[in-house]
Amino acid sequence: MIRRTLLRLAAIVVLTGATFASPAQTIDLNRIFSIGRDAVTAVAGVSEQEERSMGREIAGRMLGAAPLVNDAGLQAYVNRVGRWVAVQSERPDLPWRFAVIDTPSINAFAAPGGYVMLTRGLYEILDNEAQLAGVLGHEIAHVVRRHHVTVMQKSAALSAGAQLAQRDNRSALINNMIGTGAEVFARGLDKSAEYEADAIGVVLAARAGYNPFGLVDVLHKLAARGSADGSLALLFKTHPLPGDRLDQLGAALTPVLATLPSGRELDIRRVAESAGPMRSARPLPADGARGLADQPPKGGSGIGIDPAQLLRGIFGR
Amino acid sequence: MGRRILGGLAVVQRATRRAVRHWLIACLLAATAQVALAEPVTIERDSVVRAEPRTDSAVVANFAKGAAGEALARQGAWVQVRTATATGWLYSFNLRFGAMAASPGDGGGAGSVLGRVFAPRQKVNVTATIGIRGLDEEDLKQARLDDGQLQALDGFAASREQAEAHAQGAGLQAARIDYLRQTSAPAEQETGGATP
Repeated sequence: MIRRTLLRLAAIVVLTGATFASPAQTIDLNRIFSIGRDAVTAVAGVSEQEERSMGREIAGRMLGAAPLVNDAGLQAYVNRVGRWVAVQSERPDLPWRFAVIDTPSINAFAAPGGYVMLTRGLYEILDNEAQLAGVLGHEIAHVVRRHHVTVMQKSAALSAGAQLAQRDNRSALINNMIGTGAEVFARGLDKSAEYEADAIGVVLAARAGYNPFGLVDVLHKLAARGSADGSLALLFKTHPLPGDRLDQLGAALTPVLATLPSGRELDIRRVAESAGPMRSARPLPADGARGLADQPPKGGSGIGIDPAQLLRGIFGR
Repeated sequence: MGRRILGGLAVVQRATRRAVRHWLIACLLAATAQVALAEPVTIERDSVVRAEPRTDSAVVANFAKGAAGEALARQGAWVQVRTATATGWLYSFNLRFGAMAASPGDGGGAGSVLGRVFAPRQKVNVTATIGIRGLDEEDLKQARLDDGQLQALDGFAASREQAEAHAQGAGLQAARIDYLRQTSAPAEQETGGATP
């Protein structure tokens, strides 16, 4: 908290410094104040290419926290099912990637640009492929609607100074948006984004030929487990309660229930019993930005803070 | 003659014993099957209950919020529920799976905050998972990129053609379905004492 306040302070220092140090450059105050607003509204301001590199960075960090389940057949299967569901969306040709990650938590994650990760804990409570398609449909919806990009732009927009400083440095801006680690998944999205993803997910699974109620079944399972279940802690913290999601989905689905095709449920491929986490080379050392962000800043400014280091911490290189 | 009668009796006795044994086994199996099928449910909101899983089917009862029952069968969005008073079909959105701990008076629907705080759900299968920490917020904040994993992930990617081949092999047929119109509040959900 203190560090965040200091970061903002440092950004203001830079901003005012720029105002006085370069009188030749006229600074339009309106422009400064509108930068934050622009960043909030202009999802189009992040290109698809940028969206993909953001997503890749976040997915890579997520895999650093929880590696792939070491079952090649399973991973290929989830990719085929996921891609088939994604093909039913408005963004069928993103370089979609689907993964089952090795953690007992029950959760699923979507990162911008087409990265979808499902925990082993969630995968193992699924009864059929229609339920898998429903869950993947929900995550695909987050990608298609760019929910995470919007949230990251909003949080980056908090620092108008950073926006100004990074006007000409897109990669620094993107880094700033991503933030630390995979924290975007710890913050979660707006409730309305989750309800929207549920409603879209059901339709995508149904378009793909599955029983449309796979996601509904999974929400019932989550509701029945209740909030005391430790494996659901993060999901319950970052999502509306499953009961509320069922209410919303029920309201949206009821008018069209009679028109939905019954679809197929299909057997789901089981995780190979012997499969553990996939081993890989040791995680790469974080770049300058992330390394600094993880360490308490050291001396230099007289108050124990070195603004230069701090700025590298926020903006990266 | 007497011996033959005795022998005949023994045969009948054996047959009877076998029949009884089979009957007992059958009973046991039936009971097990019923346990497996009949999941406890709690009615989430006042709902109309129909004879068949269709909205044009006759209303056979109304279930009140908080009523306990058991699910007998499922079909699409419909679940067949038996309570102490009636058996019939209602939308799955109008119930929650799992029994509530004794919560007289209600306000303890499975999804309600009061229900969770004051009437914790009877847990059936949480003992195995309750101690699991799994991924938490701190893990996510500390997460460092693993490039080896990313490359492995790329290796599992499916092309559009592979996805279509999977669908074809599984007998999945793409259908044209519009996105849902989202409403802000639970609308017509076969709730209340509404009659068709």
